[in-house]
Amino acid sequence: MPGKDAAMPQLTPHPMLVELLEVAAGRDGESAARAHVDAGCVTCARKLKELATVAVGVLEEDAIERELQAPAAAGEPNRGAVYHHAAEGRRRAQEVVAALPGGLPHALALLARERRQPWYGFLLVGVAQGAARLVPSNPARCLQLARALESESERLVSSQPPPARAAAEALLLSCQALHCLGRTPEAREAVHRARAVLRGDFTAGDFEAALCDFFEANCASFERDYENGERLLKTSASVFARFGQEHWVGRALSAYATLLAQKGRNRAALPLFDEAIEKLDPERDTHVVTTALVNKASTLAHLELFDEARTSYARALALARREGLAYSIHVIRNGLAEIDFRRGHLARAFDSFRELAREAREGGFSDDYLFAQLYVAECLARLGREPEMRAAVEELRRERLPFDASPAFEELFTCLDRGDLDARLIAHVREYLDAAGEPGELTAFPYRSIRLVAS
Amino acid sequence: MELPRPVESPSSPTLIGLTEEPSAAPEGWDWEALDAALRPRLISLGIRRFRLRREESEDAVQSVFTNVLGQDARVRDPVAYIKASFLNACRNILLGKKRLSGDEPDCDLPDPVSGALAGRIEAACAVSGAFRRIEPRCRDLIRSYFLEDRPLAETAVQNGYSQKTVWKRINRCLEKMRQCLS
Repeated sequence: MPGKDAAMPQLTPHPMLVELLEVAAGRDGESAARAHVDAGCVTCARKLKELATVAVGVLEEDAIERELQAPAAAGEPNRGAVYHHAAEGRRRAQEVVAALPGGLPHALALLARERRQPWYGFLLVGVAQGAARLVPSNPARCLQLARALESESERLVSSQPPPARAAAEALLLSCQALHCLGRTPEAREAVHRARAVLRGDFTAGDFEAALCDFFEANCASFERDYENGERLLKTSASVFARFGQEHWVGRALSAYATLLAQKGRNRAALPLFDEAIEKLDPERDTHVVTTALVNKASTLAHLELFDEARTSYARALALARREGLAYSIHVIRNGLAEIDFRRGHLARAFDSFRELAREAREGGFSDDYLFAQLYVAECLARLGREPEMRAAVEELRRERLPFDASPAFEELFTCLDRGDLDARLIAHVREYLDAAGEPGELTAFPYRSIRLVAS
Repeated sequence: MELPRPVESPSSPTLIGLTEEPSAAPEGWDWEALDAALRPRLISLGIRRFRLRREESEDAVQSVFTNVLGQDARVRDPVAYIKASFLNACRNILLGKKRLSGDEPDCDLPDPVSGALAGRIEAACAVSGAFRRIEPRCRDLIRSYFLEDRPLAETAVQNGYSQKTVWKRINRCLEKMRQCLS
């Protein structure tokens, strides 16, 4: 309420948080901080309320901890068969997930064999969670599996785990697979369904809701729905922290930092990347740490902190090589080549981009190929090697490219034919396509022609 | 060379997505041993601290252990997870009682303190989460300030801060704490 604050007599400055803390703890006596709050400062009243939560929370947390340390009457542990079933379901789930790269029918046959077993519910949950790690390498197969798991969850009759949990896990797997396939609206719909299904699981709580938030936030970020993405990631990071699961906190913070970087808030993103990396385990979360380091490096490069960016890329490269993360290595080399380019080391950047373009084309990654090849052409133009530059753009024209309906290409190829293509236009086209992000989003980003109109 | 491909962000080819699930604990957790160790303490906590009836506390613990089996592969600190889940379950029971006593003033179990107890649990959970996000020195400082009932400056010096920079540092700790709580 800025109006009310503005109306406050500016006789006393806002007290420091430490002074408000004394008020929150009731140790302030007749302090100036108390008088300031009593005079109606809304900002400080809000801060005081937050610090009062800290005061209550610290004392309560300590009391709970002491209570848990106190001797309790030895109870009879729950030695029901449920722990055996959970362990058995988990073991068999690992077998099913291990069979998945060999083909879906074999994995589903293994699953069907267990249908009458009392651990079948745990098996379905375990397969859904375990298969999520295979999503990046084979999203289409994981999607088919997720749909089969969701259908199987309807057969469950036992209450442990509740059938709703198995269905929700299948939907979360669907979400990840759909997102990876670029079908983001459907991915988001799958999370919404998971949330609805979890309402039928009496054991589900805040942690499950935070998982849904986390996965939905990734979809929201991709759809440039930054407001919702930010809100969901902040909530999920906070809930994961409450549950003491630091590796999930690290994931949420890294995704949040990435979102801020996408919004252009590069300075705000950097400390979050650092906090995320600190919370992740390079041995067990190698892929995520690598990703966080790569995204941090890219953010640093945007801020023109090239030495720091190279250091971050170097750490990422060491991890990616150790784990054989081929696509991450490709992205890192691309980032390093961009740094060379922006520093004016054009010959070295040209060599790197030429190699990256070749690999991307052979691997069938047409958008990676497009950007690398545009850089190749731009390097050649800036190096004064015009015939080679024209050949590089000709090569682009021969390929079937993701943005081929774009007016940017029309201008690029028209200027190529007219003979007035230069580095400036190539850079303009590259920057436009980079900002547009996806071929489907081109309509939201009208292309600003810099040559054809003037001719 | 096959390149397994993570999700890309829309705005930059160098920003890549983060949706990968964490790896599971290789052998899984010994839930039965954790059950034996924690169940009686949690039941007692529910009864003594949050004034739950024995069967309410037992039901809360039961739902927590049922839940955690479904999160087996995602959990790395099982004790923290079980504790937080139990506190959530207790809070929900207390909020239910608060509503019950609000809607039906003459019911058998009017419990005017349930709302306050639920609020204290909420505060403890929020602080516990925020403590995991701030520096250990900040955490120790804030904790000992409230628990040892000493002036802040004295507490700060006790926790390794120099007299000269103490206010600035405490302010920074509190600011970070506020960010995590908001």
